[in-house]
Order: sequence, then structure tokens, then C-alpha cells
Amino acid sequence: MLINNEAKLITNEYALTRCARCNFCESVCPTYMVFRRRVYSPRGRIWIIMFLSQGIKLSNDEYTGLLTCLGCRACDLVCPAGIKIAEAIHDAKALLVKAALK
Amino acid sequence: MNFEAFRIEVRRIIDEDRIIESQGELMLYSYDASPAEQAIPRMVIQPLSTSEVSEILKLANEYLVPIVPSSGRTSLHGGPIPYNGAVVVDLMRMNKVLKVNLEDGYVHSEVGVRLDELNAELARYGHFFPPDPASSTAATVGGSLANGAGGMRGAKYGTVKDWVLGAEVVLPTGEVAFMGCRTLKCRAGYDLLSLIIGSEGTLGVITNAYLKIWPLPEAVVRLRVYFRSIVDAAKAVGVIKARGFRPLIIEFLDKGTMEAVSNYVREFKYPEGAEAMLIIDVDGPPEAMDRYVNSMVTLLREAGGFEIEWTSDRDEMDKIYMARRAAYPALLRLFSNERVMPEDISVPPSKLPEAVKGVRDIGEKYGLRIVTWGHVGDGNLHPNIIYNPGDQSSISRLHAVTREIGLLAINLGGTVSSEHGIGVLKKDLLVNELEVKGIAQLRLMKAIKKAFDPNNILNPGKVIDVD
Ligand SMILES: Cc1cc2nc3c(=O)[nH]c(=O)nc-3n(C[C@H](O)[C@H](O)[C@H](O)COP(=O)(O)OP(=O)(O)OC[C@H]3O[C@@H](n4cnc5c(N)ncnc54)[C@H](O)[C@@H]3O)c2cc1C
Ligand code: SF4
Ligand code: SF4
Repeated sequence: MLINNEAKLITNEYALTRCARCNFCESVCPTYMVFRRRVYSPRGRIWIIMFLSQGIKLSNDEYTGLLTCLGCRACDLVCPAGIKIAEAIHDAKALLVKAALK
Repeated sequence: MNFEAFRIEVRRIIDEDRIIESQGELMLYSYDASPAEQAIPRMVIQPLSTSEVSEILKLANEYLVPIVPSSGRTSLHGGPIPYNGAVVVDLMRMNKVLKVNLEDGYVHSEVGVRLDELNAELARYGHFFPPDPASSTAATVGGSLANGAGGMRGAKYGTVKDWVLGAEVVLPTGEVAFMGCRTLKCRAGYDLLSLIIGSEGTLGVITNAYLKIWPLPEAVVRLRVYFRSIVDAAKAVGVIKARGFRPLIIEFLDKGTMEAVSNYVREFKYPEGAEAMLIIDVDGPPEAMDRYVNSMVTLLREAGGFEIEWTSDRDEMDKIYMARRAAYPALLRLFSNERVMPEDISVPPSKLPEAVKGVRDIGEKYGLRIVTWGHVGDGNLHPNIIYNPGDQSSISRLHAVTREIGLLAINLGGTVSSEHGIGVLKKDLLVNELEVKGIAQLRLMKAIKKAFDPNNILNPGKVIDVD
């Protein structure tokens, strides 16, 4: 429950709902290029954070997807909506690690 | 539908890590870039080859499981959304450029290659694939062929349909066919390839294609010109064409667009009294460029253009183009609580003045802001409608505006979709257009869909409804 609420805070702080779903970020993301699974793409990761805030439980792949973001910010440079994608994912990672350690 | 039997058999032929069934990841396939209603697929499968696609479709046809092909998912009319528990076939793992053949003038590419990736590869050979949707960083070969995509260079080079020689297509029954030819000339019976292009994944799944390529332009000069009225700007486009010019691009930006861009990019300023701007790229042999540019400048002045600037310097060209490139981000950031719906109509270029004015009036009538830009060289306008997704009245007005803009295009002898497609959002408007052009065509379209897909398993409910 707590994790869902904190995901809501991240969603609001970074205004993730502004995502226009253009997918420009996916094409520059190194982890997507390697894995070709959308949980390893910027758009995928921020939408997983939004779904988390709506109460879904993360599967292994979705969990690993968030944790494997390199923080390289290639996505931020191309995002037309100006979302700080890498920072939002970073905060979500911290949230997951904190929850795991509890 | 017997999904369980389908699932068991698919698991026998596709590796586990290429089958997606967890809730969150499935939800990533529930939307495209449009405001169409979302829907979660039952399963996502990521094939690696034509034969895997064929096996999947055979099973789907046997067990009557609806299949939705999916690539970059940048569609603007709901085409790749999996309604009614459909299974998504994600083609993004088929992403190799197979061969560049300069002698025969083609590139052979798998469908999951993005257009910018394709052009980066072709640039190494001094060539390019001309269709250039504004989404080319994310849009793929397969999605673009299936959507019949176009772009800025459409006025000179047309859309994808003009640049495909042949394609490997898996039919809804699982049969594999190579449609078209590898040669420029091709008269092998009925032109089935053209039916596939723009069919939005309803007739077959394209797995690889032979695409025509072209040498990069030798020299390009970019011009920028302002007009005191949008009607003058639209008229100037007609004059450019009537005088025999075929510029590489003619991009139109209205005042709303310039305003948004200047709020977003500080360096961008536009002169007082400017209601519209055109960006024009002229190409040709280097020794002819001065002559081309001089006549173009004279023509633009006569047409009411002012503050005309031109350059062939790369950086300066980028600076001019920045106004167009920044338009979409500027809108997204300026209206951060709202959404932008990029509409897409074409009218004969001679009707552009009426279309531009009509769009503005429709926006005013419904109290929604519309910012218009477009690849006007071929009469293609993108009125961007700003709406509030959290407000029901705003959403109903969005639908009303979209509808009226479509009807306006039909009345002016144009079309309701020039490059984005029909998907689910424009099915009604398509019927309206066919009513004007001859409704018998709707019967033919339904019969074609039935002939390709007797069990209606491939992207059902998109483009047209079959009875
Ligand atoms: C910001 C923005 C700007 C855009 N600008 C333009 C523009 O200037 N011009 C333009 O034409 N479009 C434009 N579009 C729309 C869209 O990007 C293009 O139509 C694009 O070519 C779609 O490619 P995709 O790979 O994203 O396809 P998807 O969205 O994944 O799929 C498109 C359709 O084709 C089907 N499909 C996908 N792959 C295959 C396949 N291999 N075989 C059979 N069917 C398949 C899907 O079911 C769907 O119906 C824009 C979109 C955005 C978000
Ligand atoms: S910061 Fe993370 S999500 Fe963004 S491009 Fe880099 S790896 Fe991908
Ligand atoms: S680039 Fe930005 S707006 Fe586009 S899909 Fe990625 S996060 Fe969303």
C-alpha cells in the first residue's frame, strides 16, 4: 500500500501523466535496444510507475525493468513533453530498494 | 474463441521470454499516441521470423483468436489497440537492415527497423528513403507501410506507397506471400501490394520489405518567409506549384504555432503582423541553386511574403527549422494540463485558403484552441486540437471538432486522412467520404477484408466494420 502511495507522489512530482506516448524516448534507450522488451524502455518504465500508483503488483520483469535503468538520460533529451524521465525512474528505484530492505 | 488451446500451442513454438503475460507489461500495449479508448491485450508475442509469424497466425485462425500487429505504437487513431481481449504480435524484434543494393536501387529491411535507423544506414551509401513522418525517430518500416505514412517531403516524393517495390506478407490464414516485385516495373496481375499498404494491419502482417531508395539531394537551400494573412500564405503555395517549382518541403506554421514556439524557445522571434510562416527547401544541382532561389524569392514577394531569408549553411538551416521542430514540444509544454490531438486532412492545394480559414472557424465555434501546421506542399494540414482529457465537455467538443474538420475536408474535395490512417477514430468519417465518392466502395472493401481474412481475426474492428 505504502509503495503505491509513494509511486503516486513520484507520478505527481514529475507530472508523468503529461506523457504524450510518442515513444521518441524508446528509440534512444540503450536497455530497450538490448532487451527489446518495453519494461526496459523509458516510456515503459514511467508507465509502470503510474500503474504502480494505481495499485498493480509488479512482476519480476517489471521490477527488473525499473532497476536496470542506467540513468544515462538519453531519454530526457528527446522527450517533447519535457519529463525528467531518468530522475523519476531513479526515485522509483530508491522506493523499491527501500521497500525490499524493510 | 479458444484462447486456452491457442496459448498452450503458442508456448510450444515461441520461447518463454518472448511471450508476455504479466499485467503491468501487458498494459504497456493498451494505448497508442491517440485519445482512443484503451484496452489490455490477453497476451503479447514477439516473433523473430516470418515463419514464426506464420505459425502464430495459423493457430489464431484455427482457434479464432483476434491478433493485432504492433510496432512503434505511435499511431494517432487507435490502430494498434487490442480491443476485445486480442493478442498483440509485437514485431520490434525483427529489426535488421538486410541488404542495401545500389545497383538495383533498393534496401531490403525487416519491419521493426525505425525510419531514422534506416536512413542512418542509407546515408552511409549517399542514399535515403524519402517518406519522413514527424515521428520518424520512433516509427518503424512496418508501421509506416501499414499506416501508409507520409511526411514533410510528401509534396515532392509522395508517401510510402510510392516507395515500396515488394513485401513479404503473412496472411491471416498463416500463408506467406511475396507481394509486388523487386524490380521497378511490375505488372503481375492485380496489385495486391497496394492493398496491403495503408491497410493498418487488417489484411496481413508485413515482415520485411524491398523499399526504393534515392540519392541524397546534391544541394539544398532553405528559405523562410512570413505572411500577413494565412490565406496569403496558403495562396503562395498554389503559386509555387503553378510556376512549376517542386520544393523538397513546404512547411506551414500559423500564428498560434509561432506564439507557442516563441514562449518555449527564447531565441525564436517573429515580426509583428506576421500571421503565418512558410519554411521552404529547394533542392537541385549546386550550379542551378542561385537561379532557383532568385525566382523563388521574387515569387514569394509578389505573393505578399516579407522578411524573406535563405541559407545553405547547415547550422543556419537548423536555426530556421527549429521553429517547426519545436512546435510539438512547445504545445505539450505550454498546455501541460491539456492534451494535443494532431488532426490530419488533405485538400487540393488550391483549396488551402478555405481549409485554413474553415479550421479556425470550427475551433472558435466549439471554444477549443486549434494550432495549425502542415506539410502544405501537398495540401496536407495538421490542425492540433488542444483539449482537456479530464473534462467530459472538452472531450465531446474534441470529437465534434474532429468530425467537422473531416467534413470540411470532404466538402473541399479532400480526404479525412492523408497519412495518419483511419484506425477506430475515423471509421465514421471514412463512411462519409465514401458516401460522396461512391458508397459501392464500402461493399468492395468489406469483400476484400473477407477474402483476405475469412474469420475476421486480424486487427478486427479497425478501418471498416465487417457485417
Ligand atoms: C508526434 C507524432 C507525429 C507524427 N507525425 C506523422 C507524420 O508526419 N506523418 C505520418 O504519416 N504519421 C505521423 N504520425 C503517425 C505515426 O507515427 C505513423 O503513422 C507511423 O508510421 C506509425 O508507425 P509505427 O511503427 O509507430 O506503427 P504502429 O503504431 O505500431 O502501428 C500502425 C498500424 O499498423 C499496424 N501494424 C504495425 N506493424 C505492422 C506490420 N508489420 N504489418 C502489418 N500491420 C502492422 C498496427 O496494427 C497499426 O494499425 C505521427 C505520430 C506522432 C506521435
Ligand atoms: S535513463 Fe534509463 S530509461 Fe532513460 S534512456 Fe537511459 S537507460 Fe533508458
Ligand atoms: S518521449 Fe516523453 S512524451 Fe514521448 S513517450 Fe517518452 S516519456 Fe512520453
